[in-house]
Amino acid sequence: MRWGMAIELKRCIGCYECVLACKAEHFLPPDIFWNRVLIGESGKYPTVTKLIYNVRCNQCADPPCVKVCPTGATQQREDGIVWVDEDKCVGCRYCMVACPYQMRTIYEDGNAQYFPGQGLTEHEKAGRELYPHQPGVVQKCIFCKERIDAGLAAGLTPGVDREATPACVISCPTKAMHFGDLDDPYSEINRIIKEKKGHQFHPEYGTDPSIYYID
Amino acid sequence: MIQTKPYDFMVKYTQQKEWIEGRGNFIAFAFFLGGISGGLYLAASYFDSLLGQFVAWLLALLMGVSYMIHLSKPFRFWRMFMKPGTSWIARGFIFIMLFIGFTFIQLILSQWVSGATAAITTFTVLAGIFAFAQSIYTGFAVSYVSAIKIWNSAILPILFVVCGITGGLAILLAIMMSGDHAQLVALENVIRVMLIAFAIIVGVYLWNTTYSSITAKDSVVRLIRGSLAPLFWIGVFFFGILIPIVISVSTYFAGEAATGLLITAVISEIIGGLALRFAVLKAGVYSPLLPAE
Amino acid sequence: MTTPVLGMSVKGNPEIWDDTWVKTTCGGCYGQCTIRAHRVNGVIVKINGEPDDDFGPRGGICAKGEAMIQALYDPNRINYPMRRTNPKKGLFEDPKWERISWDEALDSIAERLKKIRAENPNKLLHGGTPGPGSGPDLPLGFGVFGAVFGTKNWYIGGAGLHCGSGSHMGAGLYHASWSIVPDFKLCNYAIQMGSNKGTGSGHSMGFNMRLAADARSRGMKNVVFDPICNFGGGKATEWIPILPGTDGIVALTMVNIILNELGVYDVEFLKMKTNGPYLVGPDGKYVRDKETDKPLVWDAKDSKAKTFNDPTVGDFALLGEYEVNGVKCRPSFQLVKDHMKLYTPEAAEKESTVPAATIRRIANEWVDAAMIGATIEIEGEKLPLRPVAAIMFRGGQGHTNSAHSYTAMCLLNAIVGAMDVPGGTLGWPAYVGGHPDTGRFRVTPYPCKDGMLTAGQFMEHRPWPIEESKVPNDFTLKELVPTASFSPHPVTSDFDKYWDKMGRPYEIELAMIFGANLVRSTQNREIAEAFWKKIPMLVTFSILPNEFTEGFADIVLPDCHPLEAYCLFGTHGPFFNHPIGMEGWNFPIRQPVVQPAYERRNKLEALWDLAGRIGMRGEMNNYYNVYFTSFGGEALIGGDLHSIRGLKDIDPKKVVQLIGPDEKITYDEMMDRALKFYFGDKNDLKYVSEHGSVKWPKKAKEAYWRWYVDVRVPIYMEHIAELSDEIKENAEKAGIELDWEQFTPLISYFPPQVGKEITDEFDLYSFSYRDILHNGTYTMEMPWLDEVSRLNPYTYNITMNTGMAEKKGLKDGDLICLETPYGRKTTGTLKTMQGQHPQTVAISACSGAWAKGAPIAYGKGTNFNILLESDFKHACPVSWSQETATTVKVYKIDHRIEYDGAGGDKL
Repeated sequence: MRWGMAIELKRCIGCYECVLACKAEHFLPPDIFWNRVLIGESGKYPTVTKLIYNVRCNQCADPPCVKVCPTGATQQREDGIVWVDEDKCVGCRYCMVACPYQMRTIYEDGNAQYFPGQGLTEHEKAGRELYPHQPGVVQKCIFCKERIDAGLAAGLTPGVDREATPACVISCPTKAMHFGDLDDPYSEINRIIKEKKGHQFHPEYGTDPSIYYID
Repeated sequence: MIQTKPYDFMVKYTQQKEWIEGRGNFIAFAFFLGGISGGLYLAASYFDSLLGQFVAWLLALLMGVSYMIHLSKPFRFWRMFMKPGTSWIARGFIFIMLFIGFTFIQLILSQWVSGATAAITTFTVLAGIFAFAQSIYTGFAVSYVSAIKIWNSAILPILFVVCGITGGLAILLAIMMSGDHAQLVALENVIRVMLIAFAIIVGVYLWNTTYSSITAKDSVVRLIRGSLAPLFWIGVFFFGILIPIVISVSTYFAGEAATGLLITAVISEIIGGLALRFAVLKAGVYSPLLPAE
Repeated sequence: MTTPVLGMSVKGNPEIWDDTWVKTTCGGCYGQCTIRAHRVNGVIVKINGEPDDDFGPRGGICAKGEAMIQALYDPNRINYPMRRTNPKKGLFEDPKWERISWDEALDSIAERLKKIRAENPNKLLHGGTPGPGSGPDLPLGFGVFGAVFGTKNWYIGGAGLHCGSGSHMGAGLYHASWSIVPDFKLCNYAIQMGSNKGTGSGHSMGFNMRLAADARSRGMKNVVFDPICNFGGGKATEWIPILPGTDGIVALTMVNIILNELGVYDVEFLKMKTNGPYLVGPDGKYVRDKETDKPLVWDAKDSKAKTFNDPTVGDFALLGEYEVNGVKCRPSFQLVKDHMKLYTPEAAEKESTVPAATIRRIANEWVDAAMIGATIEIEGEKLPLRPVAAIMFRGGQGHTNSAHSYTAMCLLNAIVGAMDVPGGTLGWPAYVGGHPDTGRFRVTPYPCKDGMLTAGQFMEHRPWPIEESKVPNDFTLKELVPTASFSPHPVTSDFDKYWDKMGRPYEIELAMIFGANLVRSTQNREIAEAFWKKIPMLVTFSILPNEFTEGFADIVLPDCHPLEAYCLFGTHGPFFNHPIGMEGWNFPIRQPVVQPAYERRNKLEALWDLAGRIGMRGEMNNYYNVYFTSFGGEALIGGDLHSIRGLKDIDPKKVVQLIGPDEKITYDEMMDRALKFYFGDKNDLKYVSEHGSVKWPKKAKEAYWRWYVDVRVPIYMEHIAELSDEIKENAEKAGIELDWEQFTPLISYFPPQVGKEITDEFDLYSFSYRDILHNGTYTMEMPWLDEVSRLNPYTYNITMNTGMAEKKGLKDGDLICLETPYGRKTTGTLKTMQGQHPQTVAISACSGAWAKGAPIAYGKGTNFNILLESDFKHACPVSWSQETATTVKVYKIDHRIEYDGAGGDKL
């Protein structure tokens, strides 16, 4: 079993809900993002195309970050999800430097408030109860592994059943994102990737990302 | 400070910042200290300077402190030896610990048990091996990052270790200044050769890197005539290469070297070594994720 | 180890004693998509889209919806009624709020209201542009209050700045609706002009995002004419840069090519569904039957003139010249066809910079794709298939040629018959057959006396029967021009001139505004300041402080956030934002996910309380009875708020007493009764709260009603010919000068005012456009939206074409100033783009906040509206939509001068 994602770029409109759904789901602190929307242009006036890419940790099959972590805090599960054990991370940030996609981030200021100087809102306080973050450690997208695990335990299928699927995927208003098992040759996601010619970002880095983009 | 606009992140060439901004300054400093402490130990061992070995040991301790400041969770540092199989920082951690340990023993023996020559030699050799390892491993750690093209070069570990040795030699020169004249001349000759080698390696490194990819070329351009040009030309070239070479060449012809000039050369060399680490780390640039540009 | 919780990410083992999902509607923008809000331990933590209905993205939501959580918990919320203690009013004044009780607040307002009602109810000005999702309360709240109170002065603010008076007028005329959109499911070729359908914010972005994405995936061609390649242009299959305000000439040129070069058009549609066959005399008006006064047509079969609704007409003539009653006349289609010859591709290229060859190619491709004559079967109904759509919205018609630009677009659709048929241009739902059980909430368009399409429900602009022009006696001056939708007056620089000329019949003594920021979201804050300063008492219902409340409000009442409020339906009506085409019927409710904290109160209940204090509550209760009955019963011909205002045509026996005159019910009580009345006893509030909405499937003849209702649309604006003399006469009395040239029945192109102000010094056009991250002026205060805005290259910056910027010696990151010929200035950071017309400068959304009570939003982005003028010179004379583009010169500047005196951090 290897979890992967396919993103249909034609459908995406750059609404940033994937970014905020993740922030809400994990009560991420200010200026911490586990996924991003990158906006660019291609071509010269007047034949111009707008580029919109939603990017996150690619959960590479051969992740450089896992290799360079000196403490073993960054590790990879059986199902391919790369995650960071908060209690083991020393904050050396080698993983952040080694990631060719730059999709890791470090949470520095444990006292950061969304409304600076006005204290923590009820929502932020709830976050500290439900999903606390340790300051000083590296964080990144984890394919909502808690949702996946809870879903599998309840007999649901990630990628098909909403509760078991990553928050960004189910929140996309244009249904641009697909999630599923890349190891299953008959899965919906493999069909989409094959049919619509999905491609990985910078395959020459040799990390074998689990996220495919479809033009 | 890194000047990129937030919306250009991975859309245009993006400089790495975790190993150079804020806390990250301390890892650059630590890399530099690692280089010269290893280089100084090797040079001091060759030229039989106990004081030199001791200063190298102190520099290694200082390097440890610098690393600890870089870490955001320093008290967990003991975990860092867990993954020597794949992680250069884990390996480096081990090398440093072994270097400090073996050097400590060697210093104790040399100072208070000077008769145990066999043991001293053993520990000196062991410490020397790890001095070299500690000096060169940072180059490997940095060049392992295949995503940063200017770093991903075979020359980089050699550049770092040569810089470290040159810096170590320079410090040794300052330590031995008032000592044996013949040794000093020998040391100065070694330094001359090392300086020239260093200059050549820097030149080859920068030139050759521009062939490896356009991202690497972007990095080199920043160094040569972009935002990092002052750091490179003043820090690395002027202080690290030009002044030392000029002084060493002039003293070669003059015979006797004025203390003041030598001290200038040493300080200049140290600034240059530090500047080199900062320049290389600051010049680390990632290819954008977006296909355009 | 963490114990997993289904449907939620949890770390550690927190105690969870409340894990509830509540079905409600989003308040992020006017879209009002259905959502499920997740409440854990009493705190709202997540917003998900509702997966089970069509009213939205079906499970997804956009960023604005997610960020609502932060607005709910913003520590700057207004929690108690407040009174201003600083007597000075002005853009940067600190109100020095003092907390007061609800009783004190309402009593002091009631005192003034009683006085006003006794003297002249028109002294009350009310309104405001629906802010954070408070739109649905517009008709039920202030609409009803103002109507019962008896004031004509309803000021919406913005006057087309937000959408467009031309659009609403036009969509009303042609589709009995609020706006138009391609039938994404079946359309093959869409043209958009100044429109972000499916990619921007707006009144139906939810389901449009979903449907447009499907269409793109399917391969629908989407040609977007826009000065900037950002939202609409960014998802186009072809982006065509165009100068602001020139869309009309491109549309008319395409009509010319199609009618006169290609000679291909939908003859049957023109004959049966437009006033194309109506005979027009030399005075430009219809030739009418002497007895019945009905417009005449020429029956080509019988070679004589007959009334348009004569069942014996064999063949409606569209072309030719005839003589009727001694008068030479032609079918209006002949006039239109000939008139279009003025618009050549070469002339259009000169005006708009769109290459002539491109216009020709698009026109050819589009009419090929139209498949005139094709049919399709949907659910057993055989319908015409016209899979092309030409859409215009805000940007295309936000100019002084608004009415003509928009109707030009509609003309393009009319000539190929692509109106409210499968694949074509759809208005938002104008035909509701009624609930399958009760038959109530039935809304059907119908023909007016001249056969023209008339909406069966409230429209801001109600073209038929044509109202008379009057010398205006209201502050909006709208009574002068019946074709106007929203008026910029009285917040204009010339209002006082006219009101003086008319002898200043009265002054506004109290203004009650809700959910609006009338100095930042409307044109020109200096003009706004001059007006609002003079109002003796201003009361606002707000959830957060903003520039308007701080600078000018006397009393601020704490409103409920959408997540803590009830609201009946998510909309003013299906015509406003209900899902289009075959998407199902859906009437969602809004309900509180958390109870309103502190002393926040639902604004409707506050208004009822107020009404009670001035002895008006019973009248309001009765008004609600009429309102509800007319939407579902037989009290009126159609549920028309306008005629309700008069309360004269209603048969009292037909009004159902939902609320007794003396009853003091709560809002949810009213919702319960209204829901049961409309949809049957089973669908009471309890049931609907559990299910989120009342749903039933749409029939094909409702979705594609055009050929099921005997109505026509005006390709020739004869009503303008009828009105113009009256208007001119009355205008003179008021001292008002309008651009009379535009009062022509022939849809034409008139260069926009902005184009006339281009000089060598002021050589660039500046304009603003909607950003998907923002709605109104409050979204910049939500930290999540602010964060991602800073990560976006365009949202908080001023953009210019890269080549043009280079020419002017400017580069990315420069702080620049835009200055208009009138001396208005605004500043911001430059970001250059390839995807922008070189002669333009663009600003996204309406940022540039300066309110002290909105610390996150302060100083972020640029306020474009500072640059606009507000007067008749910069308004479309026919629809009164404002000119939303200006000419500017651009130069570097050292600090943000528009913040001088604002009192916050130095910028």
